[in-house]
Amino acid sequence: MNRYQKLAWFNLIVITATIIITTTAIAIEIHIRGYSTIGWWCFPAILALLKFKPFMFKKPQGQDKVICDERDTLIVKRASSFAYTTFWWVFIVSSFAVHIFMGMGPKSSVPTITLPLMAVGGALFMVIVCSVAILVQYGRRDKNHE
Amino acid sequence: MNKTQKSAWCGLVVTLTFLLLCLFLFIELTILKKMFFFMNLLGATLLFGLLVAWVIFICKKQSPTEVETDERDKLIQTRAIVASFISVGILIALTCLILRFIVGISGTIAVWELTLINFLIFEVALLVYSVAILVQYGWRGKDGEK
Repeated sequence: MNRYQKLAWFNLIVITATIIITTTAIAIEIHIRGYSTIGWWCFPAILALLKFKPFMFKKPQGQDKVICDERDTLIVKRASSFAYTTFWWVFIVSSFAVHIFMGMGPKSSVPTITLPLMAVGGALFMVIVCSVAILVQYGRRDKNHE
Repeated sequence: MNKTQKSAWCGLVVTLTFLLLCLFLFIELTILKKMFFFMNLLGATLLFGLLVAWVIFICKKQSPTEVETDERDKLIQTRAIVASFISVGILIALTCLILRFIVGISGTIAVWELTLINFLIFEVALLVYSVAILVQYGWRGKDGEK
């Protein structure tokens, strides 16, 4: 397993753990003392682990060490491009979904926090898609090369 | 002019038309406070026609030997995607800040405004992508010849 695959797995594990732990924390909080915003703080707290990637998966040092080859670069580029395209689909579709769920009338409104939340959600979705695309491409290639 | 350039030109024309229509709608709703149904219908038809022309223009090959994309095109597209991605990040952050100052953190915005903002962000991303491609090709010529 090379560095990009490890990074992709790490992204997927951290994001999945964040979603599960935040949901559980909010559910427990509601069960014990009712809804408050404290449970939501688990979300950025666990997600901050993604910032430790450069320290956890260091680039190989030294002149004879290979960081990535052309195939790795191509795979990452393809995955990023695919993730970016998917992000736009999700972003635009979610805009219309908000329209449908909140009502079509001129008086239906949403809090201003919705836009940053949509952007964060879209960014997370993009990281997930990019990671899955990287893993799928490596998996497919490995099968073909066996 | 290759396929990437044609696509970029179409994207530029469609985006500018859409932004002009949005500006016209904004003037109608805020300054004139009167809707011109025929003009709006004409604008929507024009935009739809441009979108159809875009699809036909891209799908139809100039000659059977026309190459889809080469490595240079892919590199240019990748750079344009990066430029578009950075501009989207800045734009979303600016929009959130402006909304916060105008409406306040606990304020609300109409759902149609959110949809319109998201669509405008998408259009600006497309505009930056198209301009970045055309700038890299040198605006004209098959290989950026002047």
